[in-house]
Amino acid sequence: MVRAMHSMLATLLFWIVVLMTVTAATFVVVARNILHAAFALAVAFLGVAGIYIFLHADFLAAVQLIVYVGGIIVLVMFAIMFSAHTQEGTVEPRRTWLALGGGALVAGVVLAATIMLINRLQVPLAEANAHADAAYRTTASAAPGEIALGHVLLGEYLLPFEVASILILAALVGAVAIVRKETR
Amino acid sequence: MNWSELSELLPVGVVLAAALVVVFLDLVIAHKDRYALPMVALAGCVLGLGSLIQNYLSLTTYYKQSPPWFSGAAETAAGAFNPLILGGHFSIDLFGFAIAGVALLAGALSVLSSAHEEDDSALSSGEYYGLILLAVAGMMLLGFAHDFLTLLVSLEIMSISTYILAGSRRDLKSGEAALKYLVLGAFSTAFLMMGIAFIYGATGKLSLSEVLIPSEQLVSSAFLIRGGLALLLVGVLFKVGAAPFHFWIPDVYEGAPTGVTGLMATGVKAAAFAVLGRLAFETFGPRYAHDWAWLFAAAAVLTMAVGNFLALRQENVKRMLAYSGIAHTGYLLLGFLVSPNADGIMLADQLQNAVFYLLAYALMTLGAFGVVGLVREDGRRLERLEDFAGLSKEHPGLALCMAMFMFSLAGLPPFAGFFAKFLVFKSAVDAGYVLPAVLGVLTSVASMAYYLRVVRAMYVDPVRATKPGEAPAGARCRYSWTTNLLIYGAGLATILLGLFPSGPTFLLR
Amino acid sequence: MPVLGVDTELMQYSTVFLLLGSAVALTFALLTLSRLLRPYHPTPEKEMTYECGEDPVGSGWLRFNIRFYVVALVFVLFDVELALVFPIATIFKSLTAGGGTAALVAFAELFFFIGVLFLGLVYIWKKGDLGWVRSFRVPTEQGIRSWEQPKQVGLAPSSAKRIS
Repeated sequence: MVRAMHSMLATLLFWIVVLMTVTAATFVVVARNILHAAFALAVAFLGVAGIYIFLHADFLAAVQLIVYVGGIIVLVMFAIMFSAHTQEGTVEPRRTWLALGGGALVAGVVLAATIMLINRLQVPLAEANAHADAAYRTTASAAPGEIALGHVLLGEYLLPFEVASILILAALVGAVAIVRKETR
Repeated sequence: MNWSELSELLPVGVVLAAALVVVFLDLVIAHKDRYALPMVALAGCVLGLGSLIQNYLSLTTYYKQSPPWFSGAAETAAGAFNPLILGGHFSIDLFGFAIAGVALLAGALSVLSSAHEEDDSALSSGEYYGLILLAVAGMMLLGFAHDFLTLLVSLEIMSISTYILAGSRRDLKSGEAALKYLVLGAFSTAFLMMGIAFIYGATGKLSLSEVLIPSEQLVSSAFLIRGGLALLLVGVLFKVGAAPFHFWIPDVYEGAPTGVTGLMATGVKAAAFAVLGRLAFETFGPRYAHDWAWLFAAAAVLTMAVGNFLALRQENVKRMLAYSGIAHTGYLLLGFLVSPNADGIMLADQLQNAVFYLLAYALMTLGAFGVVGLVREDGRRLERLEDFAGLSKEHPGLALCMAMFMFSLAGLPPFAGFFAKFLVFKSAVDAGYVLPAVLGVLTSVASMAYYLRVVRAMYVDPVRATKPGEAPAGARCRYSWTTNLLIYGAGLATILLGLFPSGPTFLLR
Repeated sequence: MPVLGVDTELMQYSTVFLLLGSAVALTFALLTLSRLLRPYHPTPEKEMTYECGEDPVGSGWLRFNIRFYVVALVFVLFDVELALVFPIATIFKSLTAGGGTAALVAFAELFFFIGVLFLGLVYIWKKGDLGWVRSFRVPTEQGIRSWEQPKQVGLAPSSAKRIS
């Protein structure tokens, strides 16, 4: 009884999160006001973080929250604020039947290809998962995602991890250098 | 993990330290002393090269043999040279040494050809030289990287630094170059990462030489692995600039500051070929040659054709050199075709030929870009073919070097370019790919047309009169001892490498 | 991992979902409640944007200064650093349990990682990129060696010393 309720609740929550993500993503595309589209994008990113949680990818969910919702959205907002179009605040897209039909066609093809790919991948992915699970158990004693990742980052992959700091340093120096507006 | 093995990466550490020194020196140095910044950057490259040679010599004396060309060619007996260090993340082999050497050379020459830009505050800043050194460090790491994670991080250090460098001159063209490079480069990295994710998902391994070791696992998830490798190849072919993923090259090379273009055309290309070489020789190897070598061959033929025929129509020398760079990518790809029944010795030979090509190409291309960077009038940069008219009368030395670079790029004896092309064509024929090699020779003949146009402009065409009735403009080249050092040095090396092609290999013994 | 059909790992998130759900529900409930209770007599003056009693001038949509962007960009980079350090923070406590040397090593490794980034922060701070009014070294008519006097506001500790 309790078991059934739990799984039902989880399923319900999952579909709520999915619905929220898809609605927000659709709104990003159809919104007339670009700032509203950016807000909707933030909601879509949150929804994706939720989906990661349902996939047991806790670390990815955390990264999604920290980097995308926290950082990338801020950059997107700033980019909108700097651009000249903010005077009007809205954009009027041209919607023709050709554009709609073309979009629907592309979306349909991508959807069909994805379904075919998933069908084709089901067996190999299941095997790969089993294999990865086995490898995971031997190395990190079946710890949850971010804990295993912590051990791996401090152990086997310490060097790439430390080199990543140099990557961020290069990005830091470079980003600041290229944004700097030198007045002559 | 054995931490004492970190000393093998000392050359990279030297370059990184030099990058930090340059960046922080810019904060404390007086504006009139800024000529010191490129000198420090140059010193970093030279020290890095010295440290690299020192590492090579100490390894050779310790093991009483030179390192293997790649980790797959290493002896497996006890006490033999094991190039895999630091838990298998890096492979200290001759291929890595060669790529790191070419990267350091490209970095040093690119610093030399930028040192005369002191009136441009962005091109003489500490960040500019610091980012060049960071990019070089990324290339060196990429040369030694032996698993996908290290490879990806090093690739990004190199790429992010070069995105910024491409946009470091503050004008619209440079900005356009940076934006195009960033967007398309990020796109190709996404392909690469997706491929790595597929392969890791299917095999649970990241080491380049282990991912394809056959097991029952591999058979069942072959579809996943194939998909992953295809995505991986798209990413790598984009980074080396092979057709049909070459569209970004002309705009990016033309818009970027000339010193940076030289670095992108040589160092970045060498590092990208390091990835491709490791994939071709260590990951695929002869076992999978049937599956993948034909793809490389097709890409090589297409790249040679596209690069050479589009170069014929260019009026801008920088753009022409960009298309020529695409064509040379095609020739280089020929050097990475693996025969299904190749053994370790043959693969090592092939790798050696490809490395010789990368070295020769780096020297002549950096020299040519050095000359292009000097030609200017009233501070305006001149890059069009007609601007080179009469260069031989005003600057006979520079014109002679430029002509040598053009002959060498066209593959005429006795210059380095001739032996480079000869060696990769030989590699391709030995591996059994005769038709691509023949097409390579044919397109190479066609390429003479556009290289000789530059020579004709310099030696035959009359000097362009600026205004009717006025005397033709005087010295059009800026004088810069650093860039002259680079041009004459590269010119000398182009001849020496052509006359003594076994010189670098002699050093190895 | 599912135990007896109940996803225990997902169960840990039930509080999060509960909190999120109640936050959304509470917001809507309070807004609806106030809408039902408050009187509603709009006039054009009431609809106006409140700007300390002044009449608003022009549109609220104005272009931000680019200098905000530098701060945002630096923030995103440190955000990425945070994302990389975060998994190590989750295991640090378990490392201290085992005698302390493992924790010390981990600390040193993290120290190096953050130290490299700290160098970057020192650099951009010293360069004045975080300063509110940028203190650029600008060539003036007097020649390339004289600088424009920067207006010193906010962060930019070094710029005053550099002008001499």
